[in-house]
Amino acid sequence: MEAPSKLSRTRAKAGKYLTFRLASEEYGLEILKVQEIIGMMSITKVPKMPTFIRGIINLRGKLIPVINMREKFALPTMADTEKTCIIVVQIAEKDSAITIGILVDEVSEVLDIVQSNIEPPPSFGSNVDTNFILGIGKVGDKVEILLDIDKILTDMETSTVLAATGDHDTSSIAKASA
Amino acid sequence: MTDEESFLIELQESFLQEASDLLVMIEESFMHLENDPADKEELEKVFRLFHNIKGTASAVGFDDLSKLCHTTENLLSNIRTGKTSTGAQVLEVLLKACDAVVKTVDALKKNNTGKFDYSEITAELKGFIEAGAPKIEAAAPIIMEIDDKLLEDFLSDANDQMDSIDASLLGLEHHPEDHALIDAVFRGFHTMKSGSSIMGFKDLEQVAHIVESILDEMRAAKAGLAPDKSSICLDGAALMRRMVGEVKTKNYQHLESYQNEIKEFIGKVKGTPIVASSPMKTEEESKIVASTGGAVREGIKVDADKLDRLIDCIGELVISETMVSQSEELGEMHSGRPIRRNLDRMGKITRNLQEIGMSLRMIPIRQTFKKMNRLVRDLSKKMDKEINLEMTGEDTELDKNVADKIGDPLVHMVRNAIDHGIEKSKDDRLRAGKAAAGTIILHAFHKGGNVCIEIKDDGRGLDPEKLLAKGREKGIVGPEEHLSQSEIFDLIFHPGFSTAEKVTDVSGRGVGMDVVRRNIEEIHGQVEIDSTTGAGSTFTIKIPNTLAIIEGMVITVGNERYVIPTYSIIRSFRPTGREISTVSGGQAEMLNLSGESIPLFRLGTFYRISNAITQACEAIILIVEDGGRKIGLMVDQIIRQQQFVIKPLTGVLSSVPGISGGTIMPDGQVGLILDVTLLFQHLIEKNNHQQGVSQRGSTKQIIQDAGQGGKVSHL
Repeated sequence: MEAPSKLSRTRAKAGKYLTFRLASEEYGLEILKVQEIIGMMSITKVPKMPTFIRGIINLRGKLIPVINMREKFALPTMADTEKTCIIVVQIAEKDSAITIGILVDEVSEVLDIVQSNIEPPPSFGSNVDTNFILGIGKVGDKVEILLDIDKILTDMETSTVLAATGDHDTSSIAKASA
Repeated sequence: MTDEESFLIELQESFLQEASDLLVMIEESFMHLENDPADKEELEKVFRLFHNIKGTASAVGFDDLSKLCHTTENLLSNIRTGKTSTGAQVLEVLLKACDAVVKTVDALKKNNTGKFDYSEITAELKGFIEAGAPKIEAAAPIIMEIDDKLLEDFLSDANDQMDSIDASLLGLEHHPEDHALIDAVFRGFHTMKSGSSIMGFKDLEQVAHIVESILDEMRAAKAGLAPDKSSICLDGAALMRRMVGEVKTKNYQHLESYQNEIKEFIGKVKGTPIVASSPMKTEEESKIVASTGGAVREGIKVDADKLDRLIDCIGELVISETMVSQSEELGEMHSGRPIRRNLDRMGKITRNLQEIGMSLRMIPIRQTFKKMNRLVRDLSKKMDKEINLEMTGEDTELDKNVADKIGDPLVHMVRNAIDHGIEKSKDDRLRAGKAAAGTIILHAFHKGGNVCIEIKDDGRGLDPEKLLAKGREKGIVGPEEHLSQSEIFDLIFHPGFSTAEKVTDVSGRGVGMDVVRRNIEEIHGQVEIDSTTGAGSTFTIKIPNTLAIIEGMVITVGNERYVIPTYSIIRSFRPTGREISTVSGGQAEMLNLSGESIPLFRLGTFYRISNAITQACEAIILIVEDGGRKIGLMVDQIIRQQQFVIKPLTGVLSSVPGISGGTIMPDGQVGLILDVTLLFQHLIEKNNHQQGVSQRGSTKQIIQDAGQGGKVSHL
């Protein structure tokens, strides 16, 4: 059981990755998923959404959600800096692609990672969810966490739907109106 | 998928779309034929339409469908030539065949590889074909009444064909040996020939046929195109072009006056030119008529995606333009500067573009109305009621999305009008001093930015007393409550009112009227009822021209801004504090306004906005309404009123409680549009969880459609 499961979990493919920083961690995104990188702009908050959804931006007439990656990974919150930016990515949802923005501390560089330098995500036991990690890439002395950005949304959607329809959120108001 | 395959799928898609349109026309013609089975023109039309579908279906690989159409065409052909007599039974079978085609087209839209079994209907059709005993040959009918839509298609196609024929022929003058070019010209004339034959332009067909035969000889002999033959082909093309011109100006009868020219042309082909009697005169005559006749406007078919992208771009342009012209830097600038003038000009052009953009999506309501023809026919048969359907204002234009959404409610209301509106029997009608046949009138018109659709019947009308009694019995109306006439009529929209089957006995249309109202409210419309007992009822649907734009009020709560559609706000005021009282030990608040008690909700609390105003006397209260229910919403401030373009919120954002869509504010930031119906669900109908979810789904759909529809106007 051990060997095949380890193999199947190395889903990361060799190729170009856009790397970005969150706190002290370095992450990599498949370059083909990235549409563009934009500077910080004013984001409209959306009520009743999980905290990792920072809000909506107007990307040339299209409304797209922005996800705060620090919140998503439960990293300490930090005020936006000059380097804070939004990476616009196309993610697969069922059979269509949707556009979202992810808010990161800083965009680093584009790295070419060969297959031999990609390792499967380490297993930390059941406490740590590694589902959204494609693999770990090593370039020189750097360690990049290769993200499966499609998984981030699936995860996110479930929690949003729970938040939006769950009674715990608005029960006090419902009671008040009864 | 290879290029060829994807091309075929593209062709199939465009065929299916076209077929749907043609089928509506076929059904309509059948309706005419039912009243007047001997109407040759309608018969010709149906024949042509089936022929058209047959041809295209086989070209794009739908062989089953093509075969069915072929069999139908055979029967029609027999009727045309008098071999089979028309009658109710034959029409019934033809309608069945038509239904089978409709079903197939619908199924193919979902799955383009489906197989279909037509053995039953084919047998029925064949039965009639064989049973038809030879009869007296009917005189060949002359087509003069030609459907505009078909004609438009034919014309745009003909122009393209003629252009490419000319180009290829000119190419052949230089390279007479180029077989690919000869083939192209041959195909061009061949297409013209079959197109003309479908439309019934015999003269045009004749010329195309002559040229085609010349070219066919060349092809067979593998010879080049000799200069004299080439000039004949060019002459033929020129002649055809002139004749197409006649068709364009709808001077069909003038096509016959080309006979002399055609004879001359044939003479040329045979090498023995004959002198035509008076060709000059005919040409002159036709020129005069051409200048006076109303020309058919040619259309271009555009991919809906491209259209949406164009409209999107215009929307963005409008937003950018507003951001520039309202920017602070510009405000500081002196007003006489040329840049101001230029910006004004740009603003005007932008708005012009925006108007054109909006109109691109507008379609006449005719197609939607036409579908009612069949409904009325089927229902009047089924219920044994004689009913005339009249339609006016079919040219009234509305947004395609709105037109699509209005279909279902309209079907429901027309069905109700037939089922419950029109009296059960002729005798009842005659006794009431009315004509034996009932009349239903559909009337569409524009009124102040709205499209109004009236459904009028001359049936029994609503009986307010019976309705009120029913309402009291159901417990919808309190025993002491007094209702105005319109409030009583509104009862039929009450969900509880319509559930009992007995409602039909009251006089009431109850079945599913609450659904009708809900559907119409989803597209921001309203339904009004006017009825006189014994004389009939009029239902008026009022819907906005487009779903893409709403008139909204910008409000603030804390640092957040929201847009509330103006149509749901009844009034707004600053409370003094005295009209607010708490309930359930301070858990809920209530407004007491001139004897009315309205629940009050604080938007800041609902959305957990941190720095919202908490003192009621510093805030603003909006009284909002949805389906007759009212609530008060406490907000901080009202900023202004303006038009907003609705943009869809997709994915994770589509389920934000109380929010139906987004928009772009004049400063370029995103604004959220509050939907009062959704707010009600979240604030009040929390218990009825299931319903809330499903309802939200459908509303979302509308907003999404609206967003796709046209994200144009702004401000």
